[in-house]
Amino acid sequence: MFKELFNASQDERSVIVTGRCATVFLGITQILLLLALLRRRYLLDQPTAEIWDIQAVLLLSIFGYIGARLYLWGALPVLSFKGAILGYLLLAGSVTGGCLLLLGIPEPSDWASTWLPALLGPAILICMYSLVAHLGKRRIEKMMKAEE
Amino acid sequence: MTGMHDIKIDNSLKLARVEKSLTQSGLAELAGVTRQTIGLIEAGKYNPTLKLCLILGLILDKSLEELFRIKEDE
Repeated sequence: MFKELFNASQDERSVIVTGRCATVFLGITQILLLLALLRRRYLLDQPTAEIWDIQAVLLLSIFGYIGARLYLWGALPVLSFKGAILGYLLLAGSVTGGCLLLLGIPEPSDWASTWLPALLGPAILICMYSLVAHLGKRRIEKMMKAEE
Repeated sequence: MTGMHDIKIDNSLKLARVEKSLTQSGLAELAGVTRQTIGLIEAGKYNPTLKLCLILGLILDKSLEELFRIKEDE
């Protein structure tokens, strides 16, 4: 019985099955967390200060999953400095432009909740992308060199 | 259009196993996998890793090409 269980855990198919189940249930967990977040915010009218922990967990889970997959894949195009600046301008421009069109010009006193996230968010995204692409590529190249 | 992922793999694992007078459980134990994995490979429902293919070839005294081949279009 125990020998069978041990052998089963060593089986290559069990690794694939585990991976698939983990991916499916991670997706389900993320969707349920998002629904819980929306319920708390809009049905129970809870202030953002009371739901920031769920937001943080959800954010970490989504970006952690995407980041880890892309890092382990190791084939993302690495952005040049010029490409990163161009990407940032494009992203920040469309976010800012879209928000200005939809919500109008914000009050200068609200800069911390309007201009700052619109300008800082894309910069963080581009930096994270560049980091993941660079580290992932370096990891794969190191592994390939070790095989030579 | 047929992509590389649509290619079906045929195998003669069952034949080779029977030739060696091995049961699915026996082969599974020698290869370090479960009986279900061997059963699914024989039924063409699971594509084993190259490592397992080579191990199976070694146990059954067959080359990779003798055990696994690309299925011809029907």
